[in-house]
Amino acid sequence: MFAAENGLKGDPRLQAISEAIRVVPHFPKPGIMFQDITTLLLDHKTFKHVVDIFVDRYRDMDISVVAGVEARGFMFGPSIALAIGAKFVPLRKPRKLPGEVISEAYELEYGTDCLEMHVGAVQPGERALVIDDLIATGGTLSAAIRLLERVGAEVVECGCVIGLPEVKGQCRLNGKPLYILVGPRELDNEICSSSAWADCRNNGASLEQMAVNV
Amino acid sequence: MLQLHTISLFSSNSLTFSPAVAFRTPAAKTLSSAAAALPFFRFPNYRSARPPRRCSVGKCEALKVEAMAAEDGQDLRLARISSAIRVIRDFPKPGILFQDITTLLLDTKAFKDTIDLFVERYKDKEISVVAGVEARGFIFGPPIALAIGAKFVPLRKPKKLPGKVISEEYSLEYGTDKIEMHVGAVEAGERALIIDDLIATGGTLGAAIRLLERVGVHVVECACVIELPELKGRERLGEKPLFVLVSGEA
Repeated sequence: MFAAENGLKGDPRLQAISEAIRVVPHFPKPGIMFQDITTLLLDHKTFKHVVDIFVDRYRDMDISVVAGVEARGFMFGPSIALAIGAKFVPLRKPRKLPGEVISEAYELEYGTDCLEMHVGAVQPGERALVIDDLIATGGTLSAAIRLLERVGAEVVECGCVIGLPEVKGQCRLNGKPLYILVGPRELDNEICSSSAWADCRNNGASLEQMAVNV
Repeated sequence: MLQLHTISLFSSNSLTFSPAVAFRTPAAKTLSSAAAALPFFRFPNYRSARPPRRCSVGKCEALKVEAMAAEDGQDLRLARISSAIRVIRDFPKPGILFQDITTLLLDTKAFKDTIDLFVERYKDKEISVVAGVEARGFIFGPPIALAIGAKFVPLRKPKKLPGKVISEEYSLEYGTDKIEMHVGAVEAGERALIIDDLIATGGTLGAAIRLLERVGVHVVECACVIELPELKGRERLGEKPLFVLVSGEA
């Protein structure tokens, strides 16, 4: 599931990616440590590493569709799609896509939301990749998988830059493999003490992330 | 982005795209008439259709054929891009013809050509910032930024960016809206390109220019896939040049 355990152990690019992410405490609400990828986008070399890692993984998998989840999935998906020769399909919040759409509802902490895709964007039998910046509970990505499967596509994998502890231990979502580059960044002044090392590991932090924290 | 044109601006019900449109920046030089009829790309190493002086006949011919092939290549790419864009009637409300670029994204060659055309134009212009307007600017901006070695800065609707932001307001048909940028994303003196899928009235792009200039960035150009010239968005950009690939015409 994590790239470091999946062929990229010791790859210095993963550490650079992790360090390029900024943590913004208490956004959008108190208690949430927001993983801000905009700082990664400012670091051209590291941004390119993210795209290169995904491209290297997916270029020979016969993927014809890269579906990106609005809006931060739009920042990573198209570059991957262009490099592997796949089409890019935006998965959007309700009422943004102008043509005929299919919708898939998913649960939030309070209430539900909806993800939409244009009818005809994807053909039955196509092999698809779903991309987002981050996976937390997996609600949005599950909805994305369901949307693609409803039109007969085969979801090969879900790729995310960051995976939060909620997905710890899960290598699959809806039966589909997950591929995650790094775990969540901690605030710089919070270091995993030796007693907390076990917590870090149990929380699914990547090996690279733990090395950075200690 | 919000598209505010009404059907009364168009003399026919169908919106066709003209791939070969010449757009000049305010400081444009005059081109030969042959070149002026072609898709207009102002970049330093553009080869004129006119062969250089004082060369052998054979070499002149070869250069001319090469230049024309390059221009034909541009035409073919633009034609494909233009025909890959889908027009949707009455979205988001009755009377509006929406220019849908999602079909362009499904055409791998046309999407690649779109990016290539922007990259060819900007790669030697020492641009260090590509700012993309939410959300469709996020689709075109990052591939361009990666290809030209620039950073990508998302310009977002209010309350989306998590860190400290600066905001710029702009008018809509009814009321106002705002776009925001992270403080510290760009530095004074940087050279920037602003990207969006389409320019209609120019409200959003005008706000984007002001946002970047407020922090001392030099906006080199605004670039869009599509322009709707009847809406005169270009005029709302002040002195800033606008570069587009295709235009929607009545």
